[in-house]
Amino acid sequence: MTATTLRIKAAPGFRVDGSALQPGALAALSTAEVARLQLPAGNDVCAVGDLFDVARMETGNANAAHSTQLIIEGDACWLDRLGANLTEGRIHATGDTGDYAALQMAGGTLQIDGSAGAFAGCEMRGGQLTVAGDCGDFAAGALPGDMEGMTGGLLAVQGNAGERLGDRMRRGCVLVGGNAGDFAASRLVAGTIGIAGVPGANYAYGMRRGTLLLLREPYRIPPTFAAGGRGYDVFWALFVRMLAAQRDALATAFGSTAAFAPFLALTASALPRRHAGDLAVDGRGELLVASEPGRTAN
Amino acid sequence: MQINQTLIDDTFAEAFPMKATRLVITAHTAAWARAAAQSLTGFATSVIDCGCEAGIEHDLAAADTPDGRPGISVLMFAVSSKELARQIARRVGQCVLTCPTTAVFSGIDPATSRAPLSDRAPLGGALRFFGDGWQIAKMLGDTRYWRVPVMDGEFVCEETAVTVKAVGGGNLLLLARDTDHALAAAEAAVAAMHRLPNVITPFPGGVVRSGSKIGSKYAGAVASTNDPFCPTLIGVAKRTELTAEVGCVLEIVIDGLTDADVGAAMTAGIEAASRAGSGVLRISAGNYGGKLGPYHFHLRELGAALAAQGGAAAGSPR
Repeated sequence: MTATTLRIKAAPGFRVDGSALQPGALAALSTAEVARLQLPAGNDVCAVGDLFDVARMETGNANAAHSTQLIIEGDACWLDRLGANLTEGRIHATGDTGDYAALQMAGGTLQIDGSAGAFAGCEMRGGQLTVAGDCGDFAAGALPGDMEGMTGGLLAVQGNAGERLGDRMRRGCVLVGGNAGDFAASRLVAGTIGIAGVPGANYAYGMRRGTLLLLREPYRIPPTFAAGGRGYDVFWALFVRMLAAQRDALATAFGSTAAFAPFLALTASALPRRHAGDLAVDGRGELLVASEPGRTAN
Repeated sequence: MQINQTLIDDTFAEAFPMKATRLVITAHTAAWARAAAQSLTGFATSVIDCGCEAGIEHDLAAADTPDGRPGISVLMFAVSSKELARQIARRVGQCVLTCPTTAVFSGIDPATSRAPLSDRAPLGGALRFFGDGWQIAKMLGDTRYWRVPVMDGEFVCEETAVTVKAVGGGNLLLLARDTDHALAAAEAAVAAMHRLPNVITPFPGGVVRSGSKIGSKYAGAVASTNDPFCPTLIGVAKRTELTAEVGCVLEIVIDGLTDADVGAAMTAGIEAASRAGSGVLRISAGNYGGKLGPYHFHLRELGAALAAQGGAAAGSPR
């Protein structure tokens, strides 16, 4: 495995586009060539070597999940688009990152040990994005004007998520260990969002299809959701198995699955409460509330 | 070759390429899963006039099914991908969708299948329209499911079923002293085969009495009775394969996901049918001169393998 380490020298005072920092591409370059790489910074460019100390490590671990790895050491909240369009390899940011982390990512892994800015996992198509801290607004959503948000992969946020979580999301899975801001799962087309804490105001607004799983009782059920519905025990059994299957990925990324334990502890025999909506639109979405001891399946 | 008192003919079974799938049916109880499976695999003895050959493979414990409920696996075989897809849609639609509490899943793992993969046949993709707009698709992991509202809750099924290039038409002919011995030996052989994975015996009880040959004296009939093996035609038909002491012949047809699976099942069948005192005088097989099917299962090779395993006392013909 080839690991390239970029250790931050000092925060540059302006925003930098890090989408060119792809593990596979960097592994093919020498450290000197990496240092000469030009990164867009507003209307200007700057060299990687001006921002980072570059180091390279080759390990003989042929069994590693990814053959190439990029490590960003330090607080990089000024570094936008990290992991954008990533298709393979692993990026590990030991601190915060800027906006648009994992934008349109299709594969591989982006692990952020700090917090992510706005639009994290925006229009993500596959792979895995894990954020140990919080993430900003519009996570797993769509770019302004675009029709579809996240369409595949896993986004796991150990802390809180900002507003408009999963806006226009169509597929994939988002798990939030903390709370979510206003308009969580708004205009959800499909896919799965799980929130261990509480969502903000107007959650599930305009939700067409998909599943929003809440592990704590929300302050109210949206008026455009219909209570009831029975006979979804087979789906629920499949659903909790899907959540349990994320255990290894979460444990690897966070070292512990404690923040997500409520998701992993769900059982097929304890059905959540189900509400269908948003009836103002398609109305085939579902709000599952598993905050209380569930009904026994049949 | 002789195993115990049973002669093994120097011939071979000729088998053909087919397209196949495995479906896993689950239900609230094992009994309802079996009810659905029996209905789905009914009238599926031969592709000659049933569209497909199908059978129950084995029961599944709740721990071994996708949704944690008791289940059963069935195998379906057809002559083409198109026909297999048609049969899956019709049979699952009429026999599983209708059966209380059932769900159905694709049962072949592409990552571990030893049979070469073929197309994906529509499963929920074809049945979802029953939901009349209320159906919901759900992607869980890499698998897409359909949830169709029905009167007992939801009918859940995978969107597609993995299909493979399989083998159909392995067979054994058991030539016995009389009906009692033939039935007992056939039942024992079928039971032995059903202990193996990846194979079915599609005929009633796994056994067929109306072994057929290709063609007929009548125009329009694609198959007709296998007169060389009919005991009532000894001395009447132009050609007979039977001797006077043979009173009853029964056939077991085997379809499997791979030729190795079919061969293993035939071997198990030979072992069971040739046990001492079985009353089976000879074991033969049906073929078409080797010109039609690419898979040839030579009985004496299977018998020799059996002897090498120490499973039977084999020797030269006396």
